[in-house]
Amino acid sequence: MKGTFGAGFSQFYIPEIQRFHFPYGLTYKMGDTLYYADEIAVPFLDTPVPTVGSVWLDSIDRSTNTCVVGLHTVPDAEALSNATKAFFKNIISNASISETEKKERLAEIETQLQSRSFFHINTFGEYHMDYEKGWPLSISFQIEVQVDAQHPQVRRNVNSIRYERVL
Amino acid sequence: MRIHLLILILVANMVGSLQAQDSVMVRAEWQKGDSRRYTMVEEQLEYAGDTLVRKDTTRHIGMELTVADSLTDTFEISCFTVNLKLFDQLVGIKDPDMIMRLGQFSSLTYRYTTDGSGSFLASTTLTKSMRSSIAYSLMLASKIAPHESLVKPLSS
Repeated sequence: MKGTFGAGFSQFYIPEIQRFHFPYGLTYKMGDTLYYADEIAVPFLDTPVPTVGSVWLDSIDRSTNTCVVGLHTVPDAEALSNATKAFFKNIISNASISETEKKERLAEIETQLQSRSFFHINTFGEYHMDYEKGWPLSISFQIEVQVDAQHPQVRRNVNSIRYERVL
Repeated sequence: MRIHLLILILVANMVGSLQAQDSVMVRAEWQKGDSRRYTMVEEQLEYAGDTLVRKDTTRHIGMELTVADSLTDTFEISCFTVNLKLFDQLVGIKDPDMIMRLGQFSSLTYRYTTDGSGSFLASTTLTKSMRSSIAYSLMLASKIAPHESLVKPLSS
C-alpha cells in the first residue's frame, strides 16, 4: 500500500487506518486494473514478503453516487518460498540433533519446497464508497492462508474483516 | 469543411463524456466536523480439509471518525474506538479485577492526518497511555487460552 511505517504502535493500528484510507486519491476507470507493489508481514517469518496488488473499479451507481472498488494481493511466489526455506533452515540448524540428521532434514526441506509452496496467501478486498462525499459505506477484507504441509488434510485459515457504516 | 470540424468536435465531446461516465475519482470531500460511525468485526475461521474446526470473533469494535481539522492540503482525523468485544474467550471471564481492567482499556482515541485526497499520511497522537493500553491488550490476548468449545468441529 502507499507509504511505509515503523514498528510498535504502527504495526498494530496503522495498517488498519491505512487499509481504511487505501482507495483515496485515485481515479478508477471501468475495465482498467492498476497494479502496485506491497509487502505482507507473515507472523512467523522474520522479514515482510513482497506482494503484487491489483485494484480495479467493479461498478458505479450514478443514482446513488456510489461505486465498488475491488482489490487482490498475492505474495511473490519466489520470495515467499525463499523466506519459508530460511525459516525452516534456521530451526533445523538450531535444533538439538546430530549434524548428520540436520543435513538430512535440510535436504528434505529443500526437496519439499522445490516442488511446491508450503503455504499460499491470498487477500481479497472490496470497498463500497460514497464517491460524492468520500466516505466508505462498507469495507470487506478476506485473508486466506492455506498450509499445505504433511497433515492428513490441508489446513486453511480465513480471516475476515468487515467495516460497516452505522446510520 | 466547417461541418466536418463541427462533427469532429461533437464526437470528441461525446467520447470524453462517455469516458467520464466510466470513471470515478475517490477523494475526500470533507468539512471540519464531519463524522461517520462504523462497526468493525473480525472473524477467524479454520478449516481442516472442508471441515470447519474453529470459529472465533476476534474483535468487534465501534468506531467514530471525525474530521477534527481541515487545512489547505491536509485533514486531521480523530478516531474514537470502543472495543465491544475483544475475543470470544473473554465471555467466560469471572475475575472482577480482570473485568475492571478490561473496562479501563476498552476505548481509545487517536488522531492522524491524511492528504487533501484522503490518503493516510501519519499518526499525530501517540501517548504513553495509548501505548500502555495497546501493550496491555496484546499481553491479555496472548495469555488467554482458547475456549474448549471453540476447537471442536462445527460442521462435518
